[in-house]
Amino acid sequence: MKKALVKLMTAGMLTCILVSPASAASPAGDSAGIPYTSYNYYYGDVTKPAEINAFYDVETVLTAARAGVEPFQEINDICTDSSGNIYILDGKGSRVVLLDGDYRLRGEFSGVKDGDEILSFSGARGIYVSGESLYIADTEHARVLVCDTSGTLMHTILLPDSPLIPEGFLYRPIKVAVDASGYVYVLSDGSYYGAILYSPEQEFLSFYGANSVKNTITQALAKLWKKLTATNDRLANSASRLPYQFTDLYVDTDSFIYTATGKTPDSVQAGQIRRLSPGGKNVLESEDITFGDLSISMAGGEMRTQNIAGLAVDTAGFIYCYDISYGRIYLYDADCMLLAAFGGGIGNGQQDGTFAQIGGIDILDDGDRIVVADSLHTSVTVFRVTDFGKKVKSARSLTLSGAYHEAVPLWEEVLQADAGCQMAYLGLSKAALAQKNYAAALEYAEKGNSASVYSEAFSYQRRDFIDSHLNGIMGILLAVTAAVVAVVIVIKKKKLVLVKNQAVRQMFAAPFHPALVFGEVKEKRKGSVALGAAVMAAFYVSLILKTTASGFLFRTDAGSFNSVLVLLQTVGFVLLWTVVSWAVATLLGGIGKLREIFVVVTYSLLPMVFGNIVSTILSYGLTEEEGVFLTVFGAFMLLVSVFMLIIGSMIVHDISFGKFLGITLLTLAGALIVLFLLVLIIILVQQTAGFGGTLIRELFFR
Amino acid sequence: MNKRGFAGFLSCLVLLGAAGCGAETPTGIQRYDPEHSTNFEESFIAAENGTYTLEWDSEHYRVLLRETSNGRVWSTLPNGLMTPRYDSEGYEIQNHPQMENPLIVEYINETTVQTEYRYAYTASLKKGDYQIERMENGLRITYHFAQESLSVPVEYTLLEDGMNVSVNPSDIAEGDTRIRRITLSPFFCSVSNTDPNGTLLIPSGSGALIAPYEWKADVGYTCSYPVYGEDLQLAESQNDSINNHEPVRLPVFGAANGETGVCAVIDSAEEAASIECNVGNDKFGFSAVYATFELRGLSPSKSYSDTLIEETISVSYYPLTGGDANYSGMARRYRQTLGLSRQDPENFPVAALKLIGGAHVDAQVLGVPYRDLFVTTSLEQAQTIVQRFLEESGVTPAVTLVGFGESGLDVGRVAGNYKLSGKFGDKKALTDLQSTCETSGVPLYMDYDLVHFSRSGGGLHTLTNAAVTTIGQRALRYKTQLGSGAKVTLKEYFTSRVLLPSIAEQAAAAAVDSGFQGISYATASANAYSDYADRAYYSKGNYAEDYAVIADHARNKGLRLAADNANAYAAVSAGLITCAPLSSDKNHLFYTDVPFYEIVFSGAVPMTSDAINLAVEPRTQVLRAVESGIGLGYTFIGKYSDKLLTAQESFFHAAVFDGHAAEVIKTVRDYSQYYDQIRGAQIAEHTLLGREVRKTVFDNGFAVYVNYSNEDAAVENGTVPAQGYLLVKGGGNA
Repeated sequence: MKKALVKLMTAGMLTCILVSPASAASPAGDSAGIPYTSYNYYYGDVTKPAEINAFYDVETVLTAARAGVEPFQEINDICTDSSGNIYILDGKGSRVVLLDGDYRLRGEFSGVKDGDEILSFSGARGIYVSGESLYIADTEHARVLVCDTSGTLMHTILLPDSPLIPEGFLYRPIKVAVDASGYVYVLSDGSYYGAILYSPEQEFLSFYGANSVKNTITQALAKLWKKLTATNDRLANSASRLPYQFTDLYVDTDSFIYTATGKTPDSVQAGQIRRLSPGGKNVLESEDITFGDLSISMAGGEMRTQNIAGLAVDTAGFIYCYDISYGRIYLYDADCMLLAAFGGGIGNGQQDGTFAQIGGIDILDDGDRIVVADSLHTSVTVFRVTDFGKKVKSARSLTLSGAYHEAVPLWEEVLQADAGCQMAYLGLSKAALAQKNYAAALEYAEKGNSASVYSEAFSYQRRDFIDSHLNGIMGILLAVTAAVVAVVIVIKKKKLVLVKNQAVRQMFAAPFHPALVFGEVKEKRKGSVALGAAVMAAFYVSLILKTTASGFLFRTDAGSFNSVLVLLQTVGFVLLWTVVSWAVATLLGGIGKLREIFVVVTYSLLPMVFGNIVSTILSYGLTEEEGVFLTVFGAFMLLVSVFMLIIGSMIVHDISFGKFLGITLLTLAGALIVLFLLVLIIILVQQTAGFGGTLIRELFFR
Repeated sequence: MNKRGFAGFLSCLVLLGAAGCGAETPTGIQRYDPEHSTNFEESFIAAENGTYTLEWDSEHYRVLLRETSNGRVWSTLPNGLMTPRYDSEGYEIQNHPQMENPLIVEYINETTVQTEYRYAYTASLKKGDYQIERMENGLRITYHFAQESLSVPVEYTLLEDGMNVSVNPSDIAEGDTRIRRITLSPFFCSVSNTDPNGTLLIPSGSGALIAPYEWKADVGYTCSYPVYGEDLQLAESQNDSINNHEPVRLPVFGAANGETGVCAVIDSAEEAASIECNVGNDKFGFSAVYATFELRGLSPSKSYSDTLIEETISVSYYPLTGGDANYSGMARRYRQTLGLSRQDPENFPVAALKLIGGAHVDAQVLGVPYRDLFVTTSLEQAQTIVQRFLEESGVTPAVTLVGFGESGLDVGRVAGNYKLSGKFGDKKALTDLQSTCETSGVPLYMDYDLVHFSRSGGGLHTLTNAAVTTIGQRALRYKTQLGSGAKVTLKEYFTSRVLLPSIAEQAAAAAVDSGFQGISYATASANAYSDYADRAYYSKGNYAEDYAVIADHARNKGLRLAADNANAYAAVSAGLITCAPLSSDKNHLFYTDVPFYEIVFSGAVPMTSDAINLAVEPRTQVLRAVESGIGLGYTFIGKYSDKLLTAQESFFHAAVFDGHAAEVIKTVRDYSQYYDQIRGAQIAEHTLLGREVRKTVFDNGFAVYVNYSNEDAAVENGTVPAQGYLLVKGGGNA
């Protein structure tokens, strides 16, 4: 395979291009000394990848020559032991190479010695070391060879003879792991039953921790439909959805088993890493987390979805996993928060720290060094944590363990080096909250995009404010109430008219007396189109304000906010509804005129305008939990608007409620048709313009 | 419009359209003559001087360069294969035909539209289909490729201390087959795969060595580095998610084994060249580095240019022996070729600061999105930074203002519309900064982006003054997105090549008007690109010549010229090189990085490193500067905001001056004590004492040992601390 690929890549003997580097010229003068960019995801008004200071540098790239051995044929897996030794599995060459922590050759063996016989493990895909025992997942020979580090066979683990093993089960071990108690977990290629669990005495115990099949609503409905409609024969012949197999597993210091599930047909994967309890349940809150990149792209003619094919875990719970699609390493903390992504190559990495195809990963010095094997390049890349990476990891560990205060100096140093580090702000916000410095906590939490910390700090700050200013607040409230009452009394007694313009007064009366106001619109030709348009504009502006200018806890999608879309959703919808409703109602005997319908629709928006403004203001005074009040309030205003629309429509068209419903349904259908036609027209115009542009360019360049 | 007029219009339209449908005859290319003449010459000496003879060896179809004093031969065939070899049964071992090959032609198969290769040894020489002509001081061999209807005449000329190989593209004859690239003398620079001392030099970034004995494969490992980087038209059009590349900045390469070696210098059409390698091939037993020239350019849509480049391609090979047969010797030889002269040590700054003015970020008013110029460093902040740096470090830095134009770091009107945006400060703030720099002796440079533009103005129109691709469309920039690695096409164009010098002249005039005494053209000095509107600019052609004119404009205005990430053409004319590369592209094939670039320009052009504060490990980067004997470079901004996450560039988070100030000032203060000892000195020799320990000898009697490992290292003059260095003068510590 490797030969074939190498041949493919070097076709043409002397002149094939493997590397076509772009210029390094950056306005910053940043060559960084490493080819890849380290990044994380920034969460805020927008979610996007953001460059961070490098977490890991390439310490060395080990090749066969540098290790002082004959060339590797293919490196299929790699593992390390507690003494810092590195074991490289050349599965194709049936060979294990052992290096010490300084990358000096300690030994190698080709085939495992069983007395006078040499057992080849050609095609082996997994290696694991536990104490002095080396476990080789001998895939093609359907066994796990257990030998010492000199390659002398200790015993062999075969497919057990058990009624629990399904008939026709193909035993092709690809990965092995052993916990502190000596229990052996074997992954078999193609098995969706989970890992095969053996006792320390190599007795088969059970299958362990299989992935479960997740059903969406549509899948459940389809299943039900099939059950109801299909014949027994068809049911018997139909394929069942099976869980996806694990691609790697790793035992942590507490003997919990971490598993990686590689690629599933989903375009964006989630929950690929799990931490299984002894009972096989996932104790990591990872089901909804996308491990790897949040967005994907086409490369080499195929869509590159995430493929988290392997992992390692250190004593602090940091997870080091790799994505075989992109050739990247991802570092997560014990809370599954991404700390850094680095590496790359998308199947064609030619530079240090990039990969053609990652074959395995493990760690040294408890994560200070990461060793990553490249199957196709037959090399092992050793990454070493940078000063910056070490600081972030230490600070994050302290924060996760609740030692917020101890983490502060580290986070401050991190921020000096990387002013955009959200994790640092998050850590500082927690520390500030613990120290009851709520103002600082609020500032940091906003920068760290932590709604929970912000909300908690805000509730405390608000409580403190109310406690310390209670008298003043009550005084102001009383004074305002008294002033309002006084104004109302004066207005009543002196019969003052605050709003002298009758049309404006009528508009504001609409939410309180819809039947009366819309009756006058119909019968006395009252109601102003200009005011209606003003309300429509106010609705548009208030919606923008609500989205972009609300308090931190209630501001969503502000970064990706599209005012043109909102314009279409507000003004466009009102106009479309008015025209289509008029057309439909006219056909069905409604007598409403275009102007009357427009006035009704726009006046009906008033409660929502009010609701948007009030929500925007209140968003600065409520906590995350209290946000439900804004939801209820918004829903109530929407109901009022709908009520006004119904009353108004019935009045201007002089129709019953039933007929109103009919007209509404037809209006919706008509609106869809109009939209469809609009889209067609737009496409036509675009294509015509494109053709014209091409024509002009062709003429211009000839 | 009446009917007749309309009909006339339609006819014109159809005619114009049809005009493009016929096959065009490429201009400037000779037609292949199937009846071409051939001749066979017995071995002869084509040229000689006191040191070498240039010979034709008819028996083996080789051109030889023979050292007169000892008979040592350099040829297209690797040195170790010049004498016959025999197997155990006494039969002569035949060399692999490719190793005897003097020329590789890559052509476009008209049927498959894929490129294929032909080797002159098998397709021409062995078939007797070639013609030899004697010429003054050399010979000319025309290689005919009958099957492909191609003829390529190659001239071999004896130099005073080497040999030159050249091809004039105008002399190439084509039939129906189109030639794409040619490789000259692929094994002239080669070493044995089993020689533990054998190395190949690839001048990627600072320079890198390949140790062929590390590699072994059935078909070898290859690499290819376009000289001066990938054509900007094509840059980042590939999707490998990697955007940190260190291109080849010098048109030189070589091979050596400590006893003998060859330094090859691309003298002409270097912009069209790629330096390539073939390493560890078992069939050959030798690994080589060589130059391949792109005669026909390529567009991002994989269309080839209509005709060939104009400039004569030429490579000179200089044999090296003894103490010169290593990369230091190659650097010295190349330095000699450049004819650089020494500069006053006072001109060599300990540090250089690059201050970034601003960048466009996403903004909105009432939900209406727009791009706003975010000020990362105001002129006032720039002055504060410079002042503080001066006062606290005691060092006088060079300062470059980057992204202070109308559109900040982003692309807008060309050269930032030749003016500082008012957002950075008023005229007084600028004057204050300039006077602070002047009174403190700080050279202040203003950077202009001459290469990119996205809006009409400043003498360019987006429709008519953009560089075009091989198919006549305006060339666009590409960008790779972080994370997904998706390729994004930007609506940003490249300045028409013919206008580049005049744009530079306007920029120089603007710099003078604004009161600057120094100027920098970072994008022009670090990149090269093609413009297929004119044959002179095919395959990045004549970029070096254009830059020479640009540099002249600056000098004529009395401006000091700084070159950022400087390619060779910019480095030779620069008063200061900022962001001099300290590492290579880190290709897997590279055994180690060497400061080849710095050896070449040491003593002649002041240099400062690429940004220490943006490096993966600043401490290591400082050690690299120590090893290379250059000043320290830093990139700073005065203010950071999350808004910068929407900017095109992504380094801002690590460049905030206040965050780094204390450490940077301490580092620079310490470094200046070292730098004062070697300031302005030339690197006489550089030696690898191991992968982690290196020695640099300066011509002022100082030598520095640098130890990158985590353990102390013993050297002949003492102990080099882990992650540290030891400066010695003569025999003792300095």
